[in-house]
Amino acid sequence: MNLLDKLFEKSARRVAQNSSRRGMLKALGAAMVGGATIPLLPVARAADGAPEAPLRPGEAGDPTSCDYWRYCAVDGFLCECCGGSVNTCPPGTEMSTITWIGTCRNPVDGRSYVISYNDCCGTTQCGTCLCQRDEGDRPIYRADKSNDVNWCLGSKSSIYHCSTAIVVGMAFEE
Amino acid sequence: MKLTQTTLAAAVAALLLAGCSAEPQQASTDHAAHAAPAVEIVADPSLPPLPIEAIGTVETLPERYPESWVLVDEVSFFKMTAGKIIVLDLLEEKPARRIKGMMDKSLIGNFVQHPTRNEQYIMESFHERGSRGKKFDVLAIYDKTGLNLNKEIFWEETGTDRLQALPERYSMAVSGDQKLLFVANFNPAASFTVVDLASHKIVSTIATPGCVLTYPTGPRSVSSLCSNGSMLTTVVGSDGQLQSQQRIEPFFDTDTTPIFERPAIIDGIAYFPSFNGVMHVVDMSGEVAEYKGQWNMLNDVEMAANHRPSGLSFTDYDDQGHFYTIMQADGAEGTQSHGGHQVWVYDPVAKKKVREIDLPNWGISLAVTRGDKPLLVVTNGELALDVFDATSGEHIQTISDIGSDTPLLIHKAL
Repeated sequence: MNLLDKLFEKSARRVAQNSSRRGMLKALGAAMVGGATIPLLPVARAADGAPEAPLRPGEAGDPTSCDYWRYCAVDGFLCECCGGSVNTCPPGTEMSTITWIGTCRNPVDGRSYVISYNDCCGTTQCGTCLCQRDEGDRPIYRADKSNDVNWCLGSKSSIYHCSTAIVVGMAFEE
Repeated sequence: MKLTQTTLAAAVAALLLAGCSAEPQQASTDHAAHAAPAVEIVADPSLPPLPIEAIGTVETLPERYPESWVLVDEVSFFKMTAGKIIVLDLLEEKPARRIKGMMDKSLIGNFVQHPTRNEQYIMESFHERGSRGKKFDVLAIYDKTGLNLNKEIFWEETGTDRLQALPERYSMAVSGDQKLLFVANFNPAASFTVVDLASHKIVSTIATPGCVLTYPTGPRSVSSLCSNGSMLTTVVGSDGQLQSQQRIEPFFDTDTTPIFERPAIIDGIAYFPSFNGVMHVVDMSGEVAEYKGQWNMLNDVEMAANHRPSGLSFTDYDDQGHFYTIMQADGAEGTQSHGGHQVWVYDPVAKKKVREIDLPNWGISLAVTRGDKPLLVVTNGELALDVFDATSGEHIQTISDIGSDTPLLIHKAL
């Protein structure tokens, strides 16, 4: 599910608490133009002070953080912060059967993986850890790569709750 | 006890009165700044009593909204069943007078106005019991003057589902002859449904395999963008039934040279900016869309600085024929939806930029009002609305506190 906005609001508010208005805007701009090289979106860190989820062998980073490697094309609330994880839905929800995919590079092994961003559906919006990255995201004419669509459309309930980021295979290297 | 009851009643009445006041004392800072200074009132019993007032009066709006009005699509991303359309006057200085009315819009519903009929359309969805139970897709038809719901058309007979995605200007469209409404579907098979506006009945649902959205074309055609970078035009008859479908050859690569699906259509010519600043031109004035080529929106210096169009719903036009887009500097893959720090205005016929407008608070979405003195309204980085004189670029005011958290798409009043 796409969502690029509240994110701005949250990031703006956070930065604004500690800086001037001009500084806030500069910081916001820097966050948004950082591409893959700058930690994106200083938002969506649900877990200030919370313990990091156990990592799988061959992975590094904080799955509650928007700059976690698997989230390169995500846009929505991170299930990791909503009672689920990067590859599981929170209790009481249903995982969408159709979705969009991205290709993200794992910094630990240097390989690119196909990531399936299955939405979790049926409970109202999780409302925390909003994360938008959009790398490789395309408009809805490329539905397979579009995070603007509510992918709960094929589920029992079309109510979007949060987004997972599931490794479904290695990408072809160019 | 009696005293207590009386006091309680008075307190409740005072609270109710305060809550219903047009100028509440405890309103937001924005509102409070415009509150009248307190004046001591001395009762004068010699005055005649107030006249008796009618109960049940509901306000109405003009059939043609003033030029300074817009319709704000509150997506309500954090509570999607609570979306709405807010009718708003951008030039009203008094905050409490800016809102003219609202319409409900559930589950990221889609919205379009009819250019001449006293109608506007919201395509929305509901589950029977909140987040559960059977889903209903419903086309709700409101009048402009009363914001009254006059008709509901249920989608079940179409056998598909309406498009549910972040709001798009062209997820619905009124046909060029103004007699039909086209509504985009996606389940994920793509199609559109045709509604006859005289009878308010569904007349057909037409598959558009691999092609989405409903760009109005000619008198009764629909063009849709396709996954292979082409465009499909569907021609329907006056009865709303399929007559023919024709494709434009692919004119962009959806992986390497993608375009935004958010054009401004000016006098039947659609201008689609690409992610990296190339304008693609499609003539939609005839029965079938025709590709008219491309031109570069950036000069060498701008290209070197990597300026790019960016935002959510970030293109529009004015009645003078100018194309408006939000631009970002130093763009990159992944920043295409993040918005930017300026609005660039183009003469798309001359293929040149005519002015830049600096945005004091970033920009994500925009709209431009109709008329000789167009206003530019921008959803800024704090999700408030910045209003500018679109010609001079002068910042007029910032509007917030309108009951909106995620105003991601703004429509000019037609």
